[in-house]
Amino acid sequence: MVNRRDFVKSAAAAGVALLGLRRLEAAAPALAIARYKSSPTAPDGIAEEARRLTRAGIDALGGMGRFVSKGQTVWIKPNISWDRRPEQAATTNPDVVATLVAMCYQAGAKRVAVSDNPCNSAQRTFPRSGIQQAAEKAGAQVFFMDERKFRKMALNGKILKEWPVYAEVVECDVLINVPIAKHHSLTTVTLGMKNLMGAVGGARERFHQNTELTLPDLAAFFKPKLIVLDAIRVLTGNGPVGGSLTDVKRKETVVAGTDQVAVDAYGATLLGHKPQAIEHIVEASRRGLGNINFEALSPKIIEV
Amino acid sequence: MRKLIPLLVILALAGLLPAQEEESGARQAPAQVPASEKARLGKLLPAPRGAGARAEEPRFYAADLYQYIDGAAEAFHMYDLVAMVHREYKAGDAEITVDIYDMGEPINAFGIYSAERSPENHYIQAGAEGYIDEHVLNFLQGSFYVKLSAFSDRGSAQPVMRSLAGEIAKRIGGAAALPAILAVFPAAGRVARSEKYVKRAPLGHEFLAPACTADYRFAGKQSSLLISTSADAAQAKKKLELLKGYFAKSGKVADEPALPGAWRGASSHEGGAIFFARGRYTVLLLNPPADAAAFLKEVASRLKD
Repeated sequence: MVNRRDFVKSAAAAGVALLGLRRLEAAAPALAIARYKSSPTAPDGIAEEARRLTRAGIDALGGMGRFVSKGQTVWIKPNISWDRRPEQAATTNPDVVATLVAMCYQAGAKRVAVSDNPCNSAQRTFPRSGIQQAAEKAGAQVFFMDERKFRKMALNGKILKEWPVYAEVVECDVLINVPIAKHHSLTTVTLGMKNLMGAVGGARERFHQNTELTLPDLAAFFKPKLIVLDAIRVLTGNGPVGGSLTDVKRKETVVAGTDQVAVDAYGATLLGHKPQAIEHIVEASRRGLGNINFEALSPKIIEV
Repeated sequence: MRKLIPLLVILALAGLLPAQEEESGARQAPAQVPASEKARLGKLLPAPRGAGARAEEPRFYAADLYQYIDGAAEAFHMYDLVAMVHREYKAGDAEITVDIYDMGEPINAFGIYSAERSPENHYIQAGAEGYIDEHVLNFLQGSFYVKLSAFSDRGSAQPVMRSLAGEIAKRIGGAAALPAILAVFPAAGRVARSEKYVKRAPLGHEFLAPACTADYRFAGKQSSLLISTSADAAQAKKKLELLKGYFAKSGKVADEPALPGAWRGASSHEGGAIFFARGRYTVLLLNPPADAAAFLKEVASRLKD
């Protein structure tokens, strides 16, 4: 039986904790840019780079505990869309994904799921990307999306009013969006907002008719708690499919942030574009989904 | 997604889906690949070879190419994709994907191929032209653009890609030659494999479409040569007038004394340029070298109606 004194004491303690959390939120940066000082070529070296940059980026934001609490369910959404190996830079670096999985469990997550609704066959893209093996080894539940689990939901966007969304994405406690930075022949760049297309079903080609509006619609609906952009290798041409190693450049960077517009804005610069020239980033900023002027957020730069 | 194809077909036939390609002026690929086209593409696919080799059922795409390659499909539609076939093979430990795009005409196949290639690629003898790297072999032959992708855990997948490319090129048949218009571009100073066929808004000007372009290096400086093709001489002259108007509005334009009938323009965006019309062609040389007249005379002499 809890008496009044105990109740007041615990309520006060909770209040202090909440206040502390809010102060922490206010003090913690919204954007962290982790850069690797060297450019390893051996697979083990690149894997180590991915692990260290990912940890450094998340730690700079205040640690995974800022985003994931004990007993929560986490849904990690990498880009697993293409039948490509990691060195082709069409899919997210598997060690970035695996590191996030491990960090979520360390923060107390009850379940960490990893999936995507790919363009190529999932049976090929999941293992080829290396994400399936790496994420499963880190303890994640990696699954192919089940068509029956897409539910029509009210997105209430400017273009997308209703759309089939993978139910688990909205049912989870924490959504972490983990794109790779790439050229895209239609939207110039594909970064975080475009990566969210892998969380929906239906006739996704219709998104392409107004990407400057549909991508911000998706961003406004999903509002991922954390975005981790893999820019260790980036695809500079022939995206999003890529394939030729000539189009791959090393940027040795992982960007972590809570502001999805700022992450995309910085990502655009890594691909050689001004964010103000990318229509969907401009529109998302205009709608108040985040800050296109990422420098105004005083991003924390970490050299590893 | 595949379950939605019939619905999409019905919607498209009913005109309920926005027709982006139509609006852009490009020919719209059929919503469903006709049986005759499936047969035509199917004949180009090699049978699985070797002990234990197998292949999945081929899949065909046309207007619904987005389902396979997402936004990259837009470029194929811009170059008037007719249809494509996709087939996955397994031979030994190698997994190979064969994608054959029927672009309708050789110039369209060259257009999409040239948009994707880079001068830095490693070029090999495959079809009219092709290149290879560890996991990819792309080549061009006639109206077809062929893209192979292969992975092998035990060794290089290049031999199997080369073998498949050779067989597909043989099945396509015809001359292994690039479009004839490319022969108009003089070889001296030309940056190898910089030639492109641009179907929409070359240099940002819709009125110049379609055009072939190539980069040149003259005395260490880069120039670009553009040859716009028209239906007849009257249209080519109209393009010339539009170019004159553009430079007059955005910079300056005057007669080019070294080349009768040509004009010299300059604007803050394009820099310097010399342009003229000959027959059904409109020619534009951006950032011309000091002795551009001789070069352009050679170009003009190569233009035949």
